[in-house]
Amino acid sequence: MRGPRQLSRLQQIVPRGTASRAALICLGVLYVMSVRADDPAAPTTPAAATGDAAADSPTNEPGQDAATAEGAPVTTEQPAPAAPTIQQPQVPAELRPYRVLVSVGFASDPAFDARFRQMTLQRLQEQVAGQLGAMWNADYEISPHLGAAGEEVLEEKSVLLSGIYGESGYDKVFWLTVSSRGGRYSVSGIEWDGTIKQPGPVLSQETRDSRRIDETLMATMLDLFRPVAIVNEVAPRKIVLTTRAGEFLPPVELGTQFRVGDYLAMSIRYLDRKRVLQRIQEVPWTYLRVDSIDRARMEMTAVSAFRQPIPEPGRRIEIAGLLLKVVHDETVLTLNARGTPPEPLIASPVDVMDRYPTMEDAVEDRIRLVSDRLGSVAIPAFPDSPMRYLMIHSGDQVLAKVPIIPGVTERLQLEVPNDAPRLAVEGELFLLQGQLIDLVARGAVLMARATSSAKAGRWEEVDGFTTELDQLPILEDVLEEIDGYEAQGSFEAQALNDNVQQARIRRMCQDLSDLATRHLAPERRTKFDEEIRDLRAASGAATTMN
Amino acid sequence: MFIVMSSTGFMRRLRRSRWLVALAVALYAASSRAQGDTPLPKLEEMALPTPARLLTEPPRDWLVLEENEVVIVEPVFPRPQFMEARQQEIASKELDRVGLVGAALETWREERDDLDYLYVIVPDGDANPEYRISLDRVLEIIYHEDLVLQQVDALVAAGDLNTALELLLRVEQPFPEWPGLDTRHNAILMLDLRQRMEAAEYESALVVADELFRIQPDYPELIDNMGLAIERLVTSAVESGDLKQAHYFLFRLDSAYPEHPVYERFAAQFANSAQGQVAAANAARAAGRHDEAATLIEEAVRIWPRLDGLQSAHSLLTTRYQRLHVGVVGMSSDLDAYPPPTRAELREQALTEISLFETDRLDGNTIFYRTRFFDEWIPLDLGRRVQFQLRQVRQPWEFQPILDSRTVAQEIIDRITPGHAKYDERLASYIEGVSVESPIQFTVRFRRVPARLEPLLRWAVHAPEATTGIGDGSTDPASEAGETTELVELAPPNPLVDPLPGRGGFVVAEATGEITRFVRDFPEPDGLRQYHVAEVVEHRYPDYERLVQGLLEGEVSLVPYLPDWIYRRLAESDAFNTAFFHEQYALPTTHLLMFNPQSKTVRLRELRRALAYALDRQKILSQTVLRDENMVHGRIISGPFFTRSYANSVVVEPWPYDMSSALALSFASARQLNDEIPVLKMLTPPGLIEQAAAAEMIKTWQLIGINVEIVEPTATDATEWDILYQTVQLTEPIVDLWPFVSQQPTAELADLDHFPDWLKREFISLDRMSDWNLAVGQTQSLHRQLTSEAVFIPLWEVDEFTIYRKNLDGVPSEPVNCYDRIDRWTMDAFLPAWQPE
Repeated sequence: MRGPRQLSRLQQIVPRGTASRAALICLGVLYVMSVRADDPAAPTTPAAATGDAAADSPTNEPGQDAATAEGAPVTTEQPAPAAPTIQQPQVPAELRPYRVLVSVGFASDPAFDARFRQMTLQRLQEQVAGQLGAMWNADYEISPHLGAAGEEVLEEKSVLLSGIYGESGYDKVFWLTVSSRGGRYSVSGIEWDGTIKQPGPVLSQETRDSRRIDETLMATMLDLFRPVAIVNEVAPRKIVLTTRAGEFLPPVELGTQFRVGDYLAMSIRYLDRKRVLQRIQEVPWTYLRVDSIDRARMEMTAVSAFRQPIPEPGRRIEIAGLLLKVVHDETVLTLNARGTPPEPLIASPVDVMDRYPTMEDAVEDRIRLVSDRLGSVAIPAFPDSPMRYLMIHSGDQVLAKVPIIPGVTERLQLEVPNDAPRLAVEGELFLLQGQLIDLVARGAVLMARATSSAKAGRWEEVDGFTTELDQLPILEDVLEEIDGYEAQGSFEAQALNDNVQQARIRRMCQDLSDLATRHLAPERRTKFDEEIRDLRAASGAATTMN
Repeated sequence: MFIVMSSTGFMRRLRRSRWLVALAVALYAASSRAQGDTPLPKLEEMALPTPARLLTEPPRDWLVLEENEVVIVEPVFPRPQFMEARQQEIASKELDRVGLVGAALETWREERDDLDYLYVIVPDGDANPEYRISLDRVLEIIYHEDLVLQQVDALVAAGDLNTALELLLRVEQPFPEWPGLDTRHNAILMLDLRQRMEAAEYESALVVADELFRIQPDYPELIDNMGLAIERLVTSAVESGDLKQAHYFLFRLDSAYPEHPVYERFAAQFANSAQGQVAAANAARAAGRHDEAATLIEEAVRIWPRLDGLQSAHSLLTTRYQRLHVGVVGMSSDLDAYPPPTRAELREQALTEISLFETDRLDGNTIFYRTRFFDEWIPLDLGRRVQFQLRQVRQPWEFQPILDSRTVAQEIIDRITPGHAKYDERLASYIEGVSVESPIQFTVRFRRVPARLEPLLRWAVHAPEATTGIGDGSTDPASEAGETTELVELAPPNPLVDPLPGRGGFVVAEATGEITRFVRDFPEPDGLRQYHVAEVVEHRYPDYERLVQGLLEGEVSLVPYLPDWIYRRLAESDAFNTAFFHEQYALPTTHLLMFNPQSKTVRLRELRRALAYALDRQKILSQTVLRDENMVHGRIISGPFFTRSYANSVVVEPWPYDMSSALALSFASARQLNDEIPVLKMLTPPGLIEQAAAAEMIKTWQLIGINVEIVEPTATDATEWDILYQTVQLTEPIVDLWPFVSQQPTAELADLDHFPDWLKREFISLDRMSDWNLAVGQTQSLHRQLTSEAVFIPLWEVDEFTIYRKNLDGVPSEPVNCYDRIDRWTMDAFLPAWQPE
């Protein structure tokens, strides 16, 4: 588990005081106020948000308090936030604060009575307000969904998040749980992002001091928080993005949402004519690296397994990026060969490099891993320089080259071409090559022995060796066999719609055909026959050769 | 001389007139006497020729004439009874006269007259040494052989054994029936016996005495000399602790001379000692120490097998505690450097490890399995789950433990947990998890359905060392509270139902290097009507001939392996077949050569193929391995599987013996190795046959310029080898092939790293196949590919046999191993055949 990310450079960025930017900030503040005024679910004050009803309840027994607190939101008695802001005025993303719901569940522990819960939530609210200021527009509640949940339960329940909050309009939802064990207080949490409708990883932190639980909750939230940026422009060599709420600078020295060198994962949001979200598509094996930051504007470079991974954004296409954080020690990558069903790619070598090899740089310092019987390979995380490049091999061919940031997720799957037909042909050709060597060597020895016997006048032996030579397979036999393998392999590759593989099979077969033609050329035999004929004639023996 | 002298021609002329001849003789005799010729010597004056003369000079007979005069002549024939033969000749001639007239009658008369004379050659005579003497004048013929025998008598009297024996042989060889020869022969034997006794060479003296006994048991002094020799020999054997040898001599004496005092004296001593052992054995039996009782009674048999009443006591005690003695040549502790399991290690494994599933039999080309632990196993969800029902009881004679679900499940979990010492990568790829439904029922969930379940579970599960025997094996809260002692007292485990502490099977109780003793981990309880083999003692012999001797003499009752030529020799003997059974093992033993994947030299495919082409397998198998030109018990093979196995691809032929190809590929290899192939090291098991076959192969490889040297299997450094001579039995190739080619106990991906990716993928495909027929096809494909790659060199397979005495019962026909189902075996008491009934 990684520690809280310090947003230390936030205040070091000096606002470039242009009039337009100031006007935008003002516009943003006005927008926030208007949204809050329009949103009946939005808490008006921290006190209202935390709510005193439970704390003031006459039946303030610890156990009852917990049950009550868990069952009811502490903000207001209003229902869940209203539908998304379809009709809302289009405010630039950098001026739109995150709409956040913080939902905290407490374990059924006497230490976590209603008062404690309210106090903790209130302090947390203060921490958020103090540290993030207007960047977050947050609601708080004692979770109705979480009890004494730990990491595992959060993992299990994470699948419910999109169902519960998919239409809530929140940009971020944090589920946090607090429990105690052996004198330690454990805080676990998960973040759900409304832009891509996906949960992030589950993280945990511990503290020994119950008075620091709110701080631990805050630190956990900051660790979980994945800032969002929207793609504005896609150029051949650079991509320009705008940071969501990027113009709201936190009032304390915590840091910015993004830093140079950070990587973002991309998702494409497809909208209809009324800009209602239709579907979201992740852009796989594609990362944007932050090259420069100017307040909310960022310039990035794409690192991808594809040539043009990111389309130009349009009226009905939004492209959003979320910051990637290395939170695991490794990522288990499962390799599958395409097919129905996909077969795990077992025992395939996987090279892990910090750069792709070139003609000048073979990348000798690569790590060679091999996939296990489930097709999985564990790629260690590199927190300081997270981007890694993978080359997946099959035989002497490279099946796939992809970038990856290990440690962001626990598991990943990669589907690669089914290389079985080519590999089968490679095996057969390898065996045939061995037989070819036998054949050539044996032919050479027989010719040498026959010539030697002919020079010594032992013509019976010569005839015997010649007969053996006649029985050896000839070039046509070998070529026919190679053609058979090529036809079989090509047929199977064609069934997989894999033209590349077909070409590779053809090339392998052609190489061996060339080799066979070179070593089994009939001219050699002709020359040998002539030599024997000459020797026989010279010795006066009767010619028996054709 | 007064005898008639005449040349042969002259005599013939004189035959026409008998009267004239008689007259001539009379005249000549009268004239000779008148002239005073040297008289012939008298018999009394004749000296016996010396041994030197008899041995070196030509033989001479003495003719004793009237007045005891002696003429020395060259040997007369026929001999030794010339006179009797001549009389018969004359009588026969007389019968021919009837009906003869004229010239025929005249001829007959001449021939009849000739028969009255003895024609002799006098060696010291003049130019014409041939004479004839009327038979009427010959009193006696003393033949040369008689003279020799007289000299033998003299030499025996003088104690000159060697010369006497040499002279005797001069008579014995041409005339084995010569009168008086036997007497002299016996006299010489007695002289030899005496001299050996005087030289304290009692064992060889006993041999001479035996020979004389066979000829003439009542020969004077023989009984005393034999008794004395045996007394000394028995004393010496007793002092060296070799009672068997002492018994042997005593029984020989008793057989020759019943009630001999020497025998009686020793028999009394031994019987007294043995009686003490019998008493102790009975006491041990009464105390329930059956193993000790069996040991004591065996000791009594060793001391004096002819003890009265011993047979019944021996039968009683050895039937209660049955101890099987097995003769072997190698022990499991012998080798350090030989990586695959040896015969001895496999024997030990068969006794000490009880797998969940065991090989039961081979039917056609299919292996069938059995289990001692499960009542049933039911495939569910198209085989993705298998529900196992454990057996709840065991028979008293069965040696497996009672297992509970938790124990088996834990074992499976250990084997599929990465990092665990028992982790089995392949098993983990199949099994997703295990759930325990009850103490006797659990379910295994599979990620993939294996082509066959049983071979995946051929490993032993050991019951927990300390269980309280409460049935389900779960941890009882009371035991955690320190009340274990009370719990055991209240509920002692039922050995037939409850888990017992221990591994089951047999355990090694003693291993000295000369013997290894295995005993049942769960002894059979008292009160049974029938008991089974409780102990196996393997005895080491220095070689197979001594082992066979031990088997025939009753030292051991089972021999798990013999070289084929020794086995065939025994199997042809009626006496052997009367006393022993011999069963052929279900699977033949495959011999092959493996290459070390770590060796850079043999990674060269051309070199491997050169080595394969150079071997004349047929010749080595018939001449060295089997010593049988017909190769009745052996076959050339094309793969590492037995001939009937489903894994054999029909398109794969055995490697041909082709020196041209071998030579060519050897040259090609040398070119890739800088024109010099390094000396290869070959690791060979210590077996007599394997060593000899390896030596033959090395000779052949030298012919193509590849030098190979044998690494001693007892060497401490196990890594330095290029070629491994291995004997294997791949019972289930679908599962066994991968560990075999990687030379590892389990199938691990990392062990295939030295193979090309395409071949690696073939192994992986085989492992992932759920359909049996597809898996068989894939195995056959691998057979073709591995052979073409020369990953190994298949040599031959040999049928082997286990031999056991007929007092052993329950050994299955076509056993899978030498201790197949040994917990069912029973033994009748056995005393060697020379013991009294």
